[in-house]
Amino acid sequence: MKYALAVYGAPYASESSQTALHFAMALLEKGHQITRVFFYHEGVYTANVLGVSPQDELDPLRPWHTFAEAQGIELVVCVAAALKRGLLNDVEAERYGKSGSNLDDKFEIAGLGQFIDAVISSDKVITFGC
Amino acid sequence: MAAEDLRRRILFILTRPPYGSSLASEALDAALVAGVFDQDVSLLYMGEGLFQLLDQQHPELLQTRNHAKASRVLPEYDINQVYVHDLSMNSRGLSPADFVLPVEVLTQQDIKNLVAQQNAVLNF
Repeated sequence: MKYALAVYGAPYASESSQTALHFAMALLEKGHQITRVFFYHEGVYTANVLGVSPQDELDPLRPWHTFAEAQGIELVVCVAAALKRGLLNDVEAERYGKSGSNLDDKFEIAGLGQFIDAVISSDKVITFGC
Repeated sequence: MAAEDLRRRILFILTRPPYGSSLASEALDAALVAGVFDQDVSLLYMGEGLFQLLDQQHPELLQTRNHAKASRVLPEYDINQVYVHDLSMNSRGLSPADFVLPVEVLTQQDIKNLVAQQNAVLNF
């Protein structure tokens, strides 16, 4: 089956992002497909490359990056949610005259339309709340 | 925008109060985009989510956007299926007259049926 996943919880504050990743891995193991993972609300913080995790704690970003790279899974952060929270790629940083960017390169920035498109084109949608 | 065979029944379940977190606001944005995509969108307000529909909100005191006003545009996006959970409403001393949109009041059994009819359920 085709699944779309939505993540709303911030790393550390919530287990949502980590649970979503474990679920995504399990889906592929069971032979399902993932149309897209959409990061919304506080979930956009998952894509922040500037986080520094203590050595004995899980890095919230690295496993997503590796997963997307290995499996070719599309990771998308909502542009409106991301900009408000200071998550920018190079294009957005340039557009808004900000001094730097901090979005991991495995994540794309796109509008809510990409969320609804994933919902429409999947058999199931699973939301990981906050 | 979407072809007819891609028209899906999408239910948004809204359980958070309008202020204190931006989730209610961001959920509404997502619902409006689903409306723009010409989907068969329903909204179900449960628990604290019912406060989103209250008239007479004064968020200018918080310098934030008026959620009631934002909710009023739903019909302009062809979103007219707005439901509230009866127990959530009654236990908060609310009635449909308190809300900014016409609503249909559902029992738990009705909600079970509503959810069963959907292609996708998005929880906020």
